[in-house]
Amino acid sequence: MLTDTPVRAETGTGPPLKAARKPRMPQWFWGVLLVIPSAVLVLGVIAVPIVYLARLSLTDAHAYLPRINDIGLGNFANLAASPQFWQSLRTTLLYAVLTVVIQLVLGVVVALLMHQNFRGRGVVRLIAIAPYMIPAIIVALVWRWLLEPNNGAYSWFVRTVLPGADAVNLLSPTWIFASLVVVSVWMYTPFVVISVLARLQTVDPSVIEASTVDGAGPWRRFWHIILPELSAVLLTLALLRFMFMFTKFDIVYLFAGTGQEVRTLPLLTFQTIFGESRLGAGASLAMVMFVLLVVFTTVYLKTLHRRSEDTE
Amino acid sequence: MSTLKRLTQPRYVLAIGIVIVVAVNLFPFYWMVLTSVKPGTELFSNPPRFFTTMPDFGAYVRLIESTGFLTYAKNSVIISTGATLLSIAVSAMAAYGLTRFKFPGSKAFTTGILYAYTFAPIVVVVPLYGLFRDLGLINTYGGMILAYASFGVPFSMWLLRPFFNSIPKELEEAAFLDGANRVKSAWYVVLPQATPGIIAVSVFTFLLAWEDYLFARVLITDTNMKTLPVALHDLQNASLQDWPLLMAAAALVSLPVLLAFLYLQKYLIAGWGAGAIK
Repeated sequence: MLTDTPVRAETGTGPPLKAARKPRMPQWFWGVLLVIPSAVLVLGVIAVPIVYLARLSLTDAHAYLPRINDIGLGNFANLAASPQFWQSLRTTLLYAVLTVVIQLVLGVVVALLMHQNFRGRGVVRLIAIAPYMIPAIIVALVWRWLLEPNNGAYSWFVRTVLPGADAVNLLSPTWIFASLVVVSVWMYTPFVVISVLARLQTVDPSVIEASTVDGAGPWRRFWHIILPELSAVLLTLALLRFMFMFTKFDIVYLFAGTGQEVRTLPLLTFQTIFGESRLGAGASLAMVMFVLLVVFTTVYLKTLHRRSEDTE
Repeated sequence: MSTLKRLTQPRYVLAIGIVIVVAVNLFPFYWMVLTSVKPGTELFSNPPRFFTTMPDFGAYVRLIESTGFLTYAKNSVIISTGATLLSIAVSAMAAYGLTRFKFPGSKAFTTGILYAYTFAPIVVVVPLYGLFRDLGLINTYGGMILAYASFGVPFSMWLLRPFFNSIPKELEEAAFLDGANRVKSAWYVVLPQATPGIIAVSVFTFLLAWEDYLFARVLITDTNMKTLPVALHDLQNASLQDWPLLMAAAALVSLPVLLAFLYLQKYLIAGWGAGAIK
């Protein structure tokens, strides 16, 4: 930690005299007081809207029609019967699973590289995490320009490497999903890199040293020592990243638009509400995502909890 | 054969790996900056030019003079800074409260806040629009600051708690013996110790507000109140693919942030490691 720790504290002798000081207010009162502002903020901007959303999802509210009718679970019945909804759910799952798996594999590889000692490591590390630090709109703009079929750097590259070949249009409906996966991986892998790197720094180097002395090669060291150390973090990351990718809106919308091929649940929700003005129907979609998120989060927290018990 | 053997030596693997990472991550940024200063004659040349000898800053001039970029930048800076300050103040208080006092519901609150951390903006943004409209918060800095701060708080508190936890209670007890009260000891003894965490959290909270598109899209309807991400998206739709202009805007938005990170990076991984993931 910091070195400017007051020395007095270390040398302070005698038992703590807490009991001797008579607090004017009960201790717990302070705790509550300190927590209230954040509770108000979070409840006001997250919990209250959820209640509002739940209410809205049971109506046929429309942005331009003043009459609102209660239709019970009608919106949800419509969703269950809508092929578009199931298609969208499939797209979301495919997007989340694909991007998370690739992020995890690449993230571990890059983190292992960044963990080594080499000259200029600080700058290289920054470069390794840079894509995560810039807004999705920038990522979307830059990649749309790179992949631009006529004048983009990509099409030139294809024409140069494979003379005579026609570069496929990676922004066309056929390819946009694949491109979206690549761009998402490019942007979000650094999250895994930072997290794994942080964990690697807590691995006792003497364990690795000992195994090197025992003659373990880099591969065996990775499989038998480093990977087990990382397994808990990777599980947590897999769940957390899955939740994030499942609900990702910005990069999907900004890079890939709203085409059928990339219409994940967040996009379908956005379109239903802001494109078609069907507030009630959109709210029911958001509710479906809310319920799924609560399930994921519960699993995630259970995993976190079990893990912290394991390490104690 | 011997070449292959040499290439699989750890230090070559390391070197090649680093080169690939740097190239893959840096090239888009390079291309962005290069496009922004390419003179029109070189822009669509075939084969493309990978450097330019006559940089042309016309795109930047156009951006500043004719797109309201500075207004949007001002909006973004005010909102992001405000959200960061509010979020840090509030979550540092809570993190201190939760690590120093036990009270009924403190456990439940900690768990509840983790649920809030996983919250998807798309789920909240619609009802929030209704709420903001009723409260007159649409198109206001205050409203945007509140929205981003409340999204920052769960995350900030989660990152900050371990920092406050790691500060020995004996330090504070010593301060009490010296006659300091709770507020003084929190301010002069605890806060300085939590500084690395606070810096890391500030950066991530700032980013959260700086890069958000969705909230700004929905909760801001007045052109003059737009934030940079929304303004850039609108510019893309309106500019008929004026790539130098768009890339100039992209460069101006991302480079200052990256430079700040270069300066702060040692705190970032430490802060992240202490909190979010462990």
